[in-house]
Amino acid sequence: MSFIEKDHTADILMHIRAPDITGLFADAGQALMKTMYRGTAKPVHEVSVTVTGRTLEELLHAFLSELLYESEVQNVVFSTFEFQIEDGKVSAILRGEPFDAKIHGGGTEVKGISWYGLSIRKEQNEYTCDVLFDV
Amino acid sequence: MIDGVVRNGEYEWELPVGFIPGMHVPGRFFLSDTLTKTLEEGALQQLANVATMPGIIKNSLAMPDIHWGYGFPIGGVAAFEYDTGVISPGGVGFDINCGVRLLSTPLQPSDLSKKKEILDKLYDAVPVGVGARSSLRLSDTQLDDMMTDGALFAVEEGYGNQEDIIHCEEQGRMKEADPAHVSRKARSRGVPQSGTLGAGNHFLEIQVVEEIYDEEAARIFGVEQGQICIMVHCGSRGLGHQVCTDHLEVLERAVSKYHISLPDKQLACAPLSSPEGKAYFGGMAAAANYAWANRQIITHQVRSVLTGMCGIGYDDIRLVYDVAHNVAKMEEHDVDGRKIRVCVHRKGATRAFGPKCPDVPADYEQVGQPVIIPGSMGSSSYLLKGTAVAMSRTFGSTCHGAGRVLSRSQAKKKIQGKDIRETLGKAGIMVRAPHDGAIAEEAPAAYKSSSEVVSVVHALGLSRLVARLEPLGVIKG
Repeated sequence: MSFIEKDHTADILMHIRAPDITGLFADAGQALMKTMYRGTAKPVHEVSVTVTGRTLEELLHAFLSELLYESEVQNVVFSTFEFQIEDGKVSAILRGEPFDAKIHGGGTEVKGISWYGLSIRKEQNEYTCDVLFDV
Repeated sequence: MIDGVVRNGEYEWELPVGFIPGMHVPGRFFLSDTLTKTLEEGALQQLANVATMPGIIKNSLAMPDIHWGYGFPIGGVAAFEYDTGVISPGGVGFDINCGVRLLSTPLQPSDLSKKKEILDKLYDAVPVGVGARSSLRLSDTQLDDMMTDGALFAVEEGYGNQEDIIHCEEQGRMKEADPAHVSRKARSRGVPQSGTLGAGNHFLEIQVVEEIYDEEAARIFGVEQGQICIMVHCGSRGLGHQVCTDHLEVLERAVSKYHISLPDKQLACAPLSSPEGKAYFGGMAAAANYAWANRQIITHQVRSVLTGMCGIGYDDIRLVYDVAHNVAKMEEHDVDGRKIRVCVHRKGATRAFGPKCPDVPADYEQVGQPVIIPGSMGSSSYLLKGTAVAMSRTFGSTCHGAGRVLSRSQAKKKIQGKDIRETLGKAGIMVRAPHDGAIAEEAPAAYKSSSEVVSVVHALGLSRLVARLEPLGVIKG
């Protein structure tokens, strides 16, 4: 898992880095879940999602928006992600466990995924990006 | 001060046209010397960006609680002519109709000998924090009615009384709401969250009126020194957040369709008269109505606890007023001597209509609309009144709160939630929250002084102080 929180006055800005695009998407998903929830979650509940987009940034934005939506509506804390990334489409299996206030409560409510500074870059042997969660 | 900014008075600053390329009008913001120290360059850039949007009139404005936001700065106000202007979710925010309401009670601090029990009961009655679910089970039809009728829906379902409706901005209902523009996803986020407070800076506080500045206005608003009040700060929950997300996607495509040139993708917008613009406005208004109903349901939960615990009647707990501070609305304003219909975006800004303005309740008509400014946790909140000055200078708008100065991560590094809880406890302020981390993120030191912010709008006459309220008990999400 490789993400760090950067300073942003109003919202939560995460810097993600991973050796490949699949890892970048997974770490961005982890960053979102770790912002919203505390504690750990066993991968006992499974949800499949598919999103589309014209660019990698659009795909990442759409995936995180879908993850936020599924987590809120299903009331599940997701902890592992399995991806199939193709041109213009990302299919993912999200696994986690139902929200339990005693284990996962006390996180920060994320309202949406911002487009602020959302740009995926390839730097030497890794991919990086900044993602802003509107809170 | 940042290069290119012109000072126009003790509290007034201007970004002249040309500060950045493409500005149609000047930027104007209001700050004391103390508050200039916390001004972010990014927020000023956003203020200038708004001035480039099509159809903007007079000024791109920012209130003294200006800080860096999504698209518009928080504290931003801008009005757009209907025929030539645009509507933008970046000028409203993700939390559509985030707002505040103030309830007055006949109680005094001496009636709160069971304050801890009352706070515990309120904490149990009002679901708070991430993951909290409503005990209500709304049907699809009820959700449609909630989005169409707003606070009235809640009252008709038994969660309040008719006087509550009169004392809401817009009577708690934007008539332009169109639930057809609220997606299935937004609906499914809205159903389990009706009547919940949420998290972040949202709160429910037991407060006492500590000081009265304007006796006449306070009497008319039904507020007196030493009175116990309740303040509720929350918005449209996941339903509003999803409406914003869904329509941003459509409006981003509309930008190229209508050949709109923008300096920032976060200002995605569409002409007010376009199908895309109308769809966002209808969906946004539906989410705004959901928020008014949400605060109304929470009001009912508060009344139920206080009547049971304090031996007072349900109707003894009176709604002073309810304001929205993240919304876009069609309003008529005097511009250069003529009345024109404009779409006013208030993003972290509060409507502050003056005496005898439309939509000010008849019983408040002589003094103007109540303006409610929540403080950060443990700090003062304020009741003000709207003014004619605001009508002529800021499209009837004023500040909305304190505004952050520390990021959440900085706050958590510098401040321990446990220490804040103890410090506030020593000052007689009890705090209930799902986790100490939530307390640290929202610590008073993470925010500008609400007192300094309101002193600027008071001095400029953009609204005038009526009363100061201090917290006695805080529920944080």
